[in-house]
Order: sequence, then structure tokens, then C-alpha cells
Amino acid sequence: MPRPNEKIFSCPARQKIMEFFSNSPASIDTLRGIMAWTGLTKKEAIKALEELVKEGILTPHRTSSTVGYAYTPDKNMSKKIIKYFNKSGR
Amino acid sequence: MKDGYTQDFLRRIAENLNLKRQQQVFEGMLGRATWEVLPIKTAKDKNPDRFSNDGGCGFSVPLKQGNQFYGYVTARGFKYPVTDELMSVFTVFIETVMREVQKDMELTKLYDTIRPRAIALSTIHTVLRRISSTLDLEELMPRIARLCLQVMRAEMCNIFLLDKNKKRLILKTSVSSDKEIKKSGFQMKPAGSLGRVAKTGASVFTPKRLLVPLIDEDVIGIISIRNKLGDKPFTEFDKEILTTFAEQAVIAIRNAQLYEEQEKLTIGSIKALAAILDTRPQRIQTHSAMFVKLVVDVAKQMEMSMQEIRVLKYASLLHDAGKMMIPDEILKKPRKLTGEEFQIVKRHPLKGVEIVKPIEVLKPVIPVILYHHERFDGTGYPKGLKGKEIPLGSRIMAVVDAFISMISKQAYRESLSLDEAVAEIKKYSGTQFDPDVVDVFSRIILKANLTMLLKMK
Repeated sequence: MPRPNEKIFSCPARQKIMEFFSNSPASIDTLRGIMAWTGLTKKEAIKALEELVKEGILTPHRTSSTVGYAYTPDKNMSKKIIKYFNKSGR
Repeated sequence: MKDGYTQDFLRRIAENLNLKRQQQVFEGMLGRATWEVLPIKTAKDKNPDRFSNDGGCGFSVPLKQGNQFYGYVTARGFKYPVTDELMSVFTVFIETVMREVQKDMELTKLYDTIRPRAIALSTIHTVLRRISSTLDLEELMPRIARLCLQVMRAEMCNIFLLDKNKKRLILKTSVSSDKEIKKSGFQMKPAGSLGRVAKTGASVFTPKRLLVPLIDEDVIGIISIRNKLGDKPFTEFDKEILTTFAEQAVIAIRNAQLYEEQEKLTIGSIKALAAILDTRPQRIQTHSAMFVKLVVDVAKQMEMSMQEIRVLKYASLLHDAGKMMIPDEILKKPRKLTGEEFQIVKRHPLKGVEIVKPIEVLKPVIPVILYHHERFDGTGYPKGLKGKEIPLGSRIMAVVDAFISMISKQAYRESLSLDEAVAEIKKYSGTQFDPDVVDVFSRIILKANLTMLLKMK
């Protein structure tokens, strides 16, 4: 079962994205949307999103024209993320 | 009164005055005055007040907004009594600070109200883009279910559609957050909660389950979700979100259904045309269902678009239409063709184009039909195109056409086994055939249902 690697949260860009999704867990948004909600630059957001997808924390919903990023639907992973956020008091 | 708003208001006033709880501000002539923002504790005069006591002179300015009274800003420890002018300046200053704080708090409230709605709107927009990007019902249903799980943060989503007589519910997809089940086709009479939704068009809502109808004039189906993640109950808000989601989903489903109906009509017409072609003697039947299936499978693996695959499907049914124009004696000939006869056969792609040209819907298939006998090394016909100059659909059809021809029994030779045919295809990879297509095709044949292929043989 995948588990969030705690190092993944060490980067501020990843933290901002995770905080956005933790506050809006039902959200599915594009790169442009996530940049608007987090204030990250395109470069920062792309890199952080790719890493979070690789880690299994975010799921990419792809279409031919865009990608919608969302929290993973894996409930075990979701529990671990919530636990991590509660523990770290973020 | 010390509710959250009041506390926040007083905290912001203190921040704007640059005060911590109590702070020394003035020294010298005015004295060692300390300022404080105090919440109201007892009913006091709500007007500005000057006072003097053992600790020196001072004043209090009430923090009022309309009829609401929150507390005081108090300064004490002045050396001299506070003059009218100074009092007036302080009062105006405090009122200005209060107005700024009030504006700031209203903005914060507005932001807190609008932000989640803007995020929800953005989510709906992304969902719409996702579900309207396919017209394939088989692909659309699990996609809707997965997005539904995502938006609703639920453990399971089932989507049912009612049959045409509205007597049975057909399970179109079932997706869970743990693993994708993706079963479909299960049919049932609408009973219980599902029956109630199908009959009344009203949602059913329990802490662990939400059923929302898919309505297009009448109920056409139901989205059912179970178990909110984190062991939370579904709420009225969840019901509203799922209802909005279902309204969008139904548009995508209806579009896909209409497209499917249109597709059936078109395919029906093309099949009718292909059936007419079948009445002619054939050397090899290569527009069989298996031929079409293999062509489409390879096209999917090669990530052709839905539109390209659709065109290829039509083309694979009609690619040998031009053989209509070839004399019977050549088509029926049980031996190998002479050079002259082969020249006549080589004209069939051009003839095929002449047949399909007047049909508007078939215009995109013309290049695929025209070039399906081109060879990757440029030695094919009719134009001698080379490599990627040949349309991908034609390159795919060339491989499948040759394979089906090899495993079919001919009047002039025995059929090859599946392995022999694949080996032969591989042998001509890079010369007659596109190596990329050969790779994909070989993998598909390895995985294919051999019984079906052998039966076809």
C-alpha cells in the first residue's frame, strides 16, 4: 500500500498544493486553477504537481486538452495524508 | 459580549493601532501614557470620556459601530489633562481605524464565502471538460463514476441507466475508491430505493448512501454513491453537489447516446454497402468482423483519436469496394494471376475511391482506402508512397489485410498457421510493413483470443 513519503512535504510549493487540497478535498483542478489558488508560478506548480502525482498523493484526470489534478481516491492514502496533516498541525 | 466577531474586531483594532495588550506610547510632555484596547465588561457611558486619577490623566474612546458597542480604547498616564483638541484628534483617529478594520473584516468574510464557491465552480468546469471530451459511452460511464467519487469523496459509485421500456435498470459501471470494479451489464427490476428514484425522480438520501436521478425530460438513470470517506455522513450539501453533477453528466450521456445512434445508422448503411460488395465473387474476404476488430485494436493501441478510429472502421469495411469493378474471371481465378491481370487488380483502390467519393460521410476514408496497398519501402501501389507518407490507417490495414489473407485458405494455396503468418509479417517489417505497426500487431495477436482467430480460419 502506498504511503506518503514525509520528505514530499518539505518543499514549500508541494506544501501549498497539499494545503489547498486538504482544505478543498473534493476539488479537481487544472494547472491554471491550482496556480490561482496557491499563488505558485507555472514552473513551481508543474514540478510540484508531477512529484505529488509520482508519490500517489494526487491523481491526474487526463483529457486530450488538459489534466485535472485531484486528491487520490485511495482511501488508505487519504487517511494517511489526513493523519500526517493532523500530526504536523498544518 | 466577547463572541468571535468581537474578539476578532478588538484584535484587529489593537493590531492597527500597533498595540499588543498594553503598550507605552508617549513619553515626555504628554507623560508616560499607556494604551489599551479593552472589551466591554460593564454598561458604561458610550461616549468619549476624559478622566484623571492618581496614575495621571487619560481618556477612553468607545468602539462603536451603529448600535453595536464592542469596548474601549483607553489611554492613561498623561501628565496633563487631555484637551478638547487632542481628544477630538484621538476620536477621529480611532473612528478611522475602526472603519478600516470593518472594511478589512468584510473583505475577509467575502473572501471566505467566495473562495470555496470559486473552487467548486472551477471543479465543475474541470469535470465538464473531462466528461465532454468523449462520446464513447463505454469510456464515459466509468469516467463519470470516477469523477463522481472524486468530487463526492465517496467509496463507491454505481451508475444505472433505464432500458427503453423503463422496466429494467442496467448497471453501466461500478467503481470503488479502493479498486476499480468496472462491472456492467447487470440488469434488475427497479425496486427499493432505486425503484423509488426511478419512479419519482426524487433523490434518496441517507447518511451512508445518496441516490440521485439522471433526468433528461424523464428519468433515464440513477447515480448511486455509498460511504463518504473518513466515515462521515452525507449531508444536504453533498446532495446538492451530486444533483449538479448529475445534471452535467446527463448532458454528456445523452450526447454519447445520440452519437451512438448516429454511428449505428452510419455503420448500418456502410454494412449494407459492404453486403452488396459481398455478392460479388471474392478472392479473399478481408472486410470480415475480425478484420475490422484487428484494425481497430491496433489503431487504439497506437493511440489514434476516436475520430480517426471511426474513419478507419468505415474504411476497413469498404477498403476493397473497388474490386466490384474487377472482372469475375479474375476474381474467380483459382491460380496465381498473370502480370496483366494483376495490373487490373492494382486499380481497385482507385476504383474503390470512385465508389465512396459521392458519399459525404465517407470522404475522410478516401486516403485510407486509396493507399492501403502502399508498402513502407515505397514499392507499393498506386502512388509508391514511402514510410510515414502513407496514412497510418493504411499502414495498419496493410498489415491486417496481409495477415488475414495468409491465414485464410486460398484456391491456389493452403493457409498458414497463426505463428507462421505472424513470422511472415515480421519478416517484412520495415520493407512491406511499418515496423511500429508490426510490433503493436504482433503483441495484439499474442494476447488475442486464439480460439476466435482459429474459428475464423
